[in-house]
Amino acid sequence: MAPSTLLRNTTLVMSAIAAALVQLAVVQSHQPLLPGMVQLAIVLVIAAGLFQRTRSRSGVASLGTGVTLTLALLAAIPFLAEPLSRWIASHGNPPEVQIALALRNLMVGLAALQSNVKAQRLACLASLFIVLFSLMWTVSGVAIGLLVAYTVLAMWWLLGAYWDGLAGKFAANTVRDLPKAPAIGLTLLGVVVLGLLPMLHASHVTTALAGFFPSSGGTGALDPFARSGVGDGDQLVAAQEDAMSFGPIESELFLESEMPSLYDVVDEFYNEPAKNKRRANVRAIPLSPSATQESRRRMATTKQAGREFTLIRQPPPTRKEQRDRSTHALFSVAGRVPLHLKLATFNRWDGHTLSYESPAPALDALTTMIDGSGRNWASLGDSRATDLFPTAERHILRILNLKTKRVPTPPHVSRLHVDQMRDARLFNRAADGGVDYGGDFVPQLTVLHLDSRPVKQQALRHAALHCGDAADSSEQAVPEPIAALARQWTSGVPRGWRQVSAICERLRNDYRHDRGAVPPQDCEDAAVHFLTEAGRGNDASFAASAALLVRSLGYETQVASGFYATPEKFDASSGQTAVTGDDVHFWAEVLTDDGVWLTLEPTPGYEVLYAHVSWGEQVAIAAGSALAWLMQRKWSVLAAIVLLVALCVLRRRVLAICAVLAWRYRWRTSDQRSSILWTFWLIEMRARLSGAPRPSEIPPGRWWEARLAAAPWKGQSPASAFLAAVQWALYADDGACPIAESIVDSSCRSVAQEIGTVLRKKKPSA
Amino acid sequence: MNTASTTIAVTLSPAHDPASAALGNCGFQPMIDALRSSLNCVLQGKNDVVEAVLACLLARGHLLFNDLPGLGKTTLAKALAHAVGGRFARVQCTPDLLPGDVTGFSVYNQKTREFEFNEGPVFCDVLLADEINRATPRTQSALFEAMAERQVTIDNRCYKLPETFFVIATQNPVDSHGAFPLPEAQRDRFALQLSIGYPDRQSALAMLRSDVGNVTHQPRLSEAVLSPSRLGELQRHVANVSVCDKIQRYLVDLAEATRERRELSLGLSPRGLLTWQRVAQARAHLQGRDFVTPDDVQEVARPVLSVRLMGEFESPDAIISDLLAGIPVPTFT
Repeated sequence: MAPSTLLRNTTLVMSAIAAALVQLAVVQSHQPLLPGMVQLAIVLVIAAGLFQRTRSRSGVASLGTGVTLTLALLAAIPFLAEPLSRWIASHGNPPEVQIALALRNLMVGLAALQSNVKAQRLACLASLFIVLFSLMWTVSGVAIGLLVAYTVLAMWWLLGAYWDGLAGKFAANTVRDLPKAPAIGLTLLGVVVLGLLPMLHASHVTTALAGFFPSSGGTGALDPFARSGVGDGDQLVAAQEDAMSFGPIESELFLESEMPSLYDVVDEFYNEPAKNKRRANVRAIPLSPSATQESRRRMATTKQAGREFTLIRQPPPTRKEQRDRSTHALFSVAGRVPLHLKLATFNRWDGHTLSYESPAPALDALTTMIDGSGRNWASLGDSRATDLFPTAERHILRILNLKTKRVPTPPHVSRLHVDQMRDARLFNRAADGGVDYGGDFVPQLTVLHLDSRPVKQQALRHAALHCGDAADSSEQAVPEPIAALARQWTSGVPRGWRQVSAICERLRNDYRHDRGAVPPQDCEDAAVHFLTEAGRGNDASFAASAALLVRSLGYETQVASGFYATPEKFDASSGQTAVTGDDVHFWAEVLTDDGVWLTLEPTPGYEVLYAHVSWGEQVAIAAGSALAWLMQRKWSVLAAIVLLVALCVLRRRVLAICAVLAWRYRWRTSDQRSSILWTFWLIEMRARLSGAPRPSEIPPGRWWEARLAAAPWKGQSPASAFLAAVQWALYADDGACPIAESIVDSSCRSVAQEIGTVLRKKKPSA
Repeated sequence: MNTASTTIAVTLSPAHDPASAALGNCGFQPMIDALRSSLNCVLQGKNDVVEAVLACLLARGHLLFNDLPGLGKTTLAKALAHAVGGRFARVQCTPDLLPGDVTGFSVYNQKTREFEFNEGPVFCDVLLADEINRATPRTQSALFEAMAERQVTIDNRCYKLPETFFVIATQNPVDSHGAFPLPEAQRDRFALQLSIGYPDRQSALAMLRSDVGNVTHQPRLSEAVLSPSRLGELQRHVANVSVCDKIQRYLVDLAEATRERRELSLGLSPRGLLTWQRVAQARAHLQGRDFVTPDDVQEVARPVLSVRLMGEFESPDAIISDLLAGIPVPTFT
């Protein structure tokens, strides 16, 4: 039963008001108008199509599968459009607005189908929800006006729906008319009562209801377009970025915890260095006072960042009681991870130990620069964009338990900022390129803003790598087994980054990372042992080996140590990654002609942070690779396209030929009933392929009788015998065919052969 | 109703199943042909109505004619009764007709000092209840037991009716003033509802020609072509016409569709569904087949459904067409 015209019109206007309200709410929450309007236009076009299609079929729209799918599509549009909007127009809607828009679209679709009473009622229900949704976001004069109009119509609708329900129970000749005067009076009374409530206590009502409606409010960590909601989200953001903020980190400030120095962290992770008995004996000889002083000075230096690192370590002890203890974060990182944070570098290798030998041990003071917002930055390196370093990236480090004067820095760091820092001379440039804090150690809870330029992965293959000086390479001769291995692994690979990449890939694929694997103390060269014998080792072994392998090819390399902020510890709710003592890591670096050290990650399981690639670039890269792949096989691709086009154009004919072939094969191998059924299948299939299939509700006998009888048969028409046989094969449970086998055979063959002619003939009217 | 008048020419194979052979040319076929031709003689140009009447007879159902006066309802009923060879009785229903007038009553015999039962017109083989909607509901109800169970209970005594008891009721759809519409329960006891309709031009001319010289306007009836016992055998035979699972699922789908339509306040009852299958079996038998096809189901759908579907609709034909169009015909599955 279709709803009355009065109800339909009321539903339409109610839906329009609800749509206007939600649009008003979206616009008033500072969203641009155009994308919303484009989406609305698309939705209206689809709804109009829906209306037209269902209208032309019958008086009452049926909610079939196609209609349901279209409604689902309408509801999905906001979610589908959201990534596009964020990518193209750089603005988005928070989740609750997307939900409201999805509901709006569904309502518009249902309103288009309102000749169906179910759809009409659902449209009204959806409009009510949308109005309530919208009023939670915006309370303005226009919104209140629309609400009043909606209330009037809603009451009118309820009366009309009740009246329609009553009408069905009356005798057929009863005159049906809505008592308009009482209805209008009741509606107005309702409006006065209900309309005054929100107007008198608008703030109370909306405030009370706000708790029942979803909001995306919060830190903005998950969704940059989130609307501010309940709570102190802004304060949390400030605390994360502002070192002076106090509130949210209150518990951490007064936390009493053991704060290991960096040196302790490294030793705790890689275990104590193995005691060299020979060296201990030498130390037993009394030293002169000057030598003693030298020794003390050296100890102090060592404590700062670990200037030396020997690969010969003690095996890891079993620390059962400490396994279960939760580890305190040394510092936390906000920003993209994985991230290598460098603390120390090593450029010398004596077979067991990595060390650093500075060519120019001068401590440079850093220069201060002021950015657009008046903040002071310490300039650490080149901040210009190049092909290799196209985009800038910011990471924020909050120092928690790390007691060191060395600042952990990401690769290719360009500048450093600390809140309230007036002078960049607070920091010094160390001899190895690292950055040291001017005082004893970086104060706890300092928030360091570090700008860097991650390397672009696609540009790496064109990077010009610096080849070391001949004198330098002779001084740091790489053991021959390593050099031989490097030559073997890179044979046929063009010089440059590809060689370096090949070595890293080989190490990552063929060697096993094992923290507990340590070289024997009596081995000649730990790296050679790792590469040629052990096949497993810790990340320091990987890093040292990679540096030596690459160095043997003539490139300048060094080993870096520091921390690896792993994505596994990324906390989505805070947007931060905790870095603990377990994240100490070694990696290798290779020098470019521009004097930039590029990160090499030879250890399996560790990744390098590359420059962010936008969706557009990713699509372009994928398209480029696909095009290249196609161009390599252009003739095959061309042939495939021609074949596909031909198949597409001639698909009906090809399928018809396949059907005939299938029938011929089956005809020979089947019994009588199957043969008849296969012939029937063939004519049904041919009819479908010719674009005139038998309607599913018409029995085969009646449909084919007229068509087969009208065909020009040579001799007696096989139609009646064939159709009798088909009906027997389809619907008789058992028993033999009532028609002689020879007649069945000949009629089936005749029909199968002439079906093309039958279908080409002008179709008789059904 | 558009019944296919052309039967499919079949050639029996040598390896034909004896059971199915007994069906088509089993001795019943001449009787059916004779029955068909005798009915066609009295009702010219109405092959489809005659086929439906035959199907109803073979399906052991009762028939309701819903048509205007003078279209040949009574003539057809009398011809049918005559052809079947049984007793024929006619009840002209009026508002003052009592149940006892239909079923019979007991009278005290002073000589024997016992109550003697006087059989009413219901004790016959073919009963014509003319203008049944003129009788009061009480009298209409008196026919319930006779139609459904083929027995009559009077004074706590049960009297059996013949196995082939067949009711043909008529009602006039136009003059409904002072009429008592048949309740749903009684409508459901009829297998089919038919309308004869006006004859076409050729049939009307033939009718006029044959009537010249016929003083009483009564059609000349031929000899009885069946006996009630042979009719009983024929009905039992029809009940054995096979209905495959596909067709039964198709019937159930259609029945469920009638119950889901909003326009229909009363869908098809299980008794109605059984009747539909039986009438389809009869139609298949009349077509010379020993299995039911979707054509049979669709052909008998209108008379079977129009008697039992209730609701707010303009024309039952449109609803039934819509129902049939909504359910795909089973073919391979």
